[in-house]
Amino acid sequence: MNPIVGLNTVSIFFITLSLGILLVWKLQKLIPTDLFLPAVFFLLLSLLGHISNLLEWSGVAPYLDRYGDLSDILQPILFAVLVYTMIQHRQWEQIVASEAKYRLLVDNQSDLITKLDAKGNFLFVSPSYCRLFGKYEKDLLGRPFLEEVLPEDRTRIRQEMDILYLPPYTCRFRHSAQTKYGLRVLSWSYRTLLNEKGKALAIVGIGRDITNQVQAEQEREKMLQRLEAKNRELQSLVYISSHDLQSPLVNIRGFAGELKTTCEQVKKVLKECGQYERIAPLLKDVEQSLYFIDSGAEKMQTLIDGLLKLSRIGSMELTLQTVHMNGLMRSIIEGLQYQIQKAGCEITVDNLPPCHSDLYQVNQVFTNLLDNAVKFLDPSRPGKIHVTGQERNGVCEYRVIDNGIGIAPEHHEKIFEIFHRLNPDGPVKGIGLGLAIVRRILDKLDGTIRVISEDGRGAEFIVTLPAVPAS
Amino acid sequence: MFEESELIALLITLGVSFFLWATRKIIMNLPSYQFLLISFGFYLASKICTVLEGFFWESALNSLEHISAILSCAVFFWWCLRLGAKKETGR
Repeated sequence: MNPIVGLNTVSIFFITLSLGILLVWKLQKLIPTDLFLPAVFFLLLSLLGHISNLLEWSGVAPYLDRYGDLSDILQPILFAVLVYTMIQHRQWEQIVASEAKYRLLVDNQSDLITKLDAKGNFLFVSPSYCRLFGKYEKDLLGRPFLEEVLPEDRTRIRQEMDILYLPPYTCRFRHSAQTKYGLRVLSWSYRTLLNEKGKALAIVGIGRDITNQVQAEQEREKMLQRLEAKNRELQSLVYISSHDLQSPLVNIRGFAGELKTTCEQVKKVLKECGQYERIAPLLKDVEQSLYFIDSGAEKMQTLIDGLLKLSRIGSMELTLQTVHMNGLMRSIIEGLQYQIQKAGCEITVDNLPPCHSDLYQVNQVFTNLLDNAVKFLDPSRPGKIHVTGQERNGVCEYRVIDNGIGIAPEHHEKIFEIFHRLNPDGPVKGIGLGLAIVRRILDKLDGTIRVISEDGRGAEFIVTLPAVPAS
Repeated sequence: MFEESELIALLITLGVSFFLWATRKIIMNLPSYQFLLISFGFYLASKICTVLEGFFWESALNSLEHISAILSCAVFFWWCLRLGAKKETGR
């Protein structure tokens, strides 16, 4: 047998196998028709060429040579067609996959997506938009966006959207709209798409139904207003009541003093008449009662003074300025010199950073803190108080550290409550207002206070205040 | 001496080769593109041998032409096989 015949037979075998496998893939829908057809034509042409060669070389039909020639010429062309079809198909597949990906995103988006032309008419609306308005896409396309805006909002929105044609070609707005679910508030973020010449091609926007958020904001606003009103009411109540309590108290103390003087005079007269011994027990009772009236009235006076002071903090006017803490601390210590010497303690102060606050109020804060530190020193050891401070991230942090009697952790919050005293029967006199005033003042000054302490191990009060702005 | 049709076929094949070279970046995205190109390479070789056998080593080049054609068909078959297999894996 002619070797060429054998070689051609092998080629025909492979071509037939190729055709067969392509057919199998096609039947299994693994390859598309536009790829299958050029490949099959290419193979059939190739098959024709080889069969012609086979018949020609085997001497069966030498005249078939011209079919072989035709096949030789057409085969590469069909190969090019095959490759070109594959490229086209691949690109189409990529587009379909990409569209499917974005379609999936858009279709399952709860946010509203729209695309408008330069005149503000819909070019695209997402399914979420159609669902919200209960309309079909075909009914919305080509219609103006403003038609879906509540009439009273339209002029404002038109003006807002006008800035979309100017740099930076973006705008944000919210408007009310009558939807399938009733009146809703929508928030939009729009952006203009420009061509190379800077002309507006389209406007794309993403919207969100913020009705619940707006309702919550309104509720919060109302609540805040109510709270502020109540607070003001409470403050004025405290102020008025404590102020009005002053005059009867003055009367009580005044008349108690009068009674005491009268008692003294009665005592003197009775002594002159020699009748004193008979009345003495009665007079002692009267004097004791007068003492209780006076000390009770004095305590009440202190409490009323404290309440008045506390109520004034809420209404005080602040004068914010740079407070030089080193100078301030020196003057506070000078003011407390008598108590310091009496307690026999040592106070050391580091270099303190200045803060941005109200001088008078900051003075009050540190006076109270140092006064407390001196008052509550441990008599069993030499008293030491140290004041330090540093500035960090726009906040000044000051620490007043003492080696006093300390505060048990369960009282760390309570000590800042009004009239709260850790040891009411202890040797230190007071009404439990100092730290309450400190916290009130710091709340007003955008500052904070906290304490680190353990019973019997001293205390560390950490005060923060706004630092001086960099500019 | 070579035949006119063989020369035309070679020129067309060379033209297609140029097309493949020009679109190589896109072709590289096609599934199992290497086998398709190898198959075409053998096809081109067979066409070159066809023309050259008219000038020298007629018998040897003729055999080479047919062997190249077989290899081209075999690789093309392999590409067809991979085409479906790749798709199947892709699922």
